[in-house]
Amino acid sequence: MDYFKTLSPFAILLFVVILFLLVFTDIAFISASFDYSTIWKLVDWLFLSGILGLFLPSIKKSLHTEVISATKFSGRFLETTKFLFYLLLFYFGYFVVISLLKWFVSAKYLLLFDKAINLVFYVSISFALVISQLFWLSNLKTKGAKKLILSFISLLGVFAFVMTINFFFSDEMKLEENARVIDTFFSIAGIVIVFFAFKMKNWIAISSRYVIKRLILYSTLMMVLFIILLSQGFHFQKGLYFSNFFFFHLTQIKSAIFLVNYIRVFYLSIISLPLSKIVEQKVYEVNSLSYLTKIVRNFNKIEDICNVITELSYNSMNRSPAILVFLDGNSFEIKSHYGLNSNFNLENVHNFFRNIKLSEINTSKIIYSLEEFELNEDFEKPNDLLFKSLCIVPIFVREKLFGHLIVANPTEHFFDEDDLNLLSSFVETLSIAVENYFLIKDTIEKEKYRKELLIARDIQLSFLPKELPKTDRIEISSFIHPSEEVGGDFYDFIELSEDKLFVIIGDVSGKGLGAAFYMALLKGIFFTLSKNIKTAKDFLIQLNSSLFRKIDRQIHITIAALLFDFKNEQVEVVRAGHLPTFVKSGNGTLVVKTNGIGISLAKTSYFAEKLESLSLNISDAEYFVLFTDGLVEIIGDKDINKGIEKLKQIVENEVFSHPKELVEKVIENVRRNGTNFDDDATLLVLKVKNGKKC
Amino acid sequence: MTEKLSINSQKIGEQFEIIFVKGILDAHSAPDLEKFVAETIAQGNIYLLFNLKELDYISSAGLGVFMAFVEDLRNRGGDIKFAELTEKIYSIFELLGFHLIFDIVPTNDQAIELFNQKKLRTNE
Repeated sequence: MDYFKTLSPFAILLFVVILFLLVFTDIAFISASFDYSTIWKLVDWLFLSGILGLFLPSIKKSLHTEVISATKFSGRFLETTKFLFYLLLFYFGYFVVISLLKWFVSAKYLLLFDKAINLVFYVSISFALVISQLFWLSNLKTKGAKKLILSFISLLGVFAFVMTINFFFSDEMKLEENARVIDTFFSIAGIVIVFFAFKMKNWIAISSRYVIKRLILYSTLMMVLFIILLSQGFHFQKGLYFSNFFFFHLTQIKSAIFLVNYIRVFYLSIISLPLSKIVEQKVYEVNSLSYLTKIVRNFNKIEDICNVITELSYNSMNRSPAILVFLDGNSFEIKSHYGLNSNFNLENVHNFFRNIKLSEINTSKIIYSLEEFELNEDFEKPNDLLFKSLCIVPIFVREKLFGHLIVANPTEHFFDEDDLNLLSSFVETLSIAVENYFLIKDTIEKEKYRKELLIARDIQLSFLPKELPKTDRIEISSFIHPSEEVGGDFYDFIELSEDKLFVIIGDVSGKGLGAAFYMALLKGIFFTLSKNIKTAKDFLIQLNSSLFRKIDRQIHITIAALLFDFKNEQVEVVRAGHLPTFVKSGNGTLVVKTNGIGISLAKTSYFAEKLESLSLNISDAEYFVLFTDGLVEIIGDKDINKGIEKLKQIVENEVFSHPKELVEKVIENVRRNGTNFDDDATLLVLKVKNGKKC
Repeated sequence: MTEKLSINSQKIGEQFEIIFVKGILDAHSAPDLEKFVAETIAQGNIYLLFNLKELDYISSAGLGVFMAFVEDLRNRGGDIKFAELTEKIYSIFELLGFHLIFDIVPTNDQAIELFNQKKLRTNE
């Protein structure tokens, strides 16, 4: 109920002063038999405007936000005290004017004028009063209630308007009849309001203590006011009846109705006051949980969350010191604490908990008194026992005991199950936060590692030949798709002499950095060996000899090589554990699958014994196609044999004029099988330019 | 152990174990096999027969596992042999030249026979 928060203490004070003025002037003027009708009018007005002044800001606010976006009550009228001040000025002015007019205008007209002003004022004040009461019902947040209030207000407005107009065209007798009708209407409104007020849910019980205290103050004030008005009725009946007929009715009938309502509010507020403490506690708990959830979503350091949790625990456990410890083997570290003071300083607390085997507490528990707790002998004097009640909740992260949230209190039997449940939910949130924290940390580390791998990959790719050999006999096109990690595929072209070209394709087994390093090593070995290569077979034997027993046993290298001798028109095809080489000619496609053990798998003597090579006439071939297992595995859907068969069909069936076209055709096939490369995929296509020789 | 790969073993005789490898043996599952074989050897077995009847896939990393142990075993008088390879797996062995390095036999019995002969020779 923001409504009550808008009541400034000064406004209430002013209102009380006006109230006392009413009572005192009444007594004063009755004792002195003085024609006090004008004075009384002033007092009436003060009273009514007091009510209006009190309600105006809230009415304005409610109108603005809920019913009509009215800007009528704007500017300085917003502030209650200012408004009252202006009203006082206005009354004073009016009082002076009326007093002066008496000397010039005949009494009959003056009375009529006075009554007219009174009526307008009365109607508007009553209008405001009823509306303000209706907003009391704003807790009836159903649509029906709002509609009812709206229609009621409109009806009231129309009614007031008609009555006011009617007044100016009627004589004195009718005036009083009018007043009675208006009075009856407002009385019915009052009854309706009270009826709804009784029907509405007891929102007072779930209000905060602040609101309830305000309510008590306000309802007491209103009760006193209406009691005074009722009791005073007979005293100033005579004076009022003649001077201000309308006000008399207002005080007599509606006061009683409103009094009932305020008694009820008063009663409910009083009985709700003790409850409100619990309500506030619960509200705090709910708020703290949602606050915690927000924090967890967005935090930088675990310490931040720990601090929030200890603070929330402290506040929700009636200011019991809260300590958050993280276990480290058998010892512990106080990660965060809240509410420790000179009595419970950090050192004391540390000593206290050193005697409790925290690492063995893995279920939530309440310690009602320390007698039930096993302590070390160190604790002899009961004075040293800082706390007598403890609430201990273990924190589990990744199903491992991580630490404890402990709330302690120096009095016995301080905590109950509800407290434990609340703390458990705090801890639950903390666990999630810590788990997330680790997860993020892992991810960041992995990402860092991945980035370094990518750099390694770039370096590795830079080892591949950037320029294709300049020869007019052969056209080459290549394709390499590195898998995300560093890999072991490689190829190289070495121009041994003007008419000798050595082409190698290979694959270092395994993936990852290991394979990548060997690939880099190979590049160097190639360079060294290539200086005096005679045959491709020779090259592989030498390579095996330099690598056998020198590299990790689990690693092996497969290589396929072609040595073109353009002078003698010969090409030597050799294979060490690698996939076969396709040689396409007019007669079909030859799959060269000569014997050959993978590099570093066998002793060089045995390796050399089993290594076969094949010599072909260059001009007999049109295309040479070399590839690695990564490529055929994708084409063959993980089945190398199927992949080889499929690739062979592509090579055989497709007609193309440039090696690049074949490469593109193959890539197209690869893409069709998905682009998920588990391994490196490499393809080399060499075209022999026979026709262009001369 | 990964779900993709399942390994069982059966003791046949003194220092002699048959290892049944099922599923997919690639870079991810190779360490599992490596661990298993290392344990088997640690128990004193030097004659290892790998039955690859139900092996669906093998990658170069998988092949590397056998290479890791064979030399050591041979130095100690033992060996690694393979039995009941599917056509698909055999072709991969063949590509790499494994058929030149290892004995690959159609049945377990034949492998046991070969091992026994070797044992006799060693004992002599």
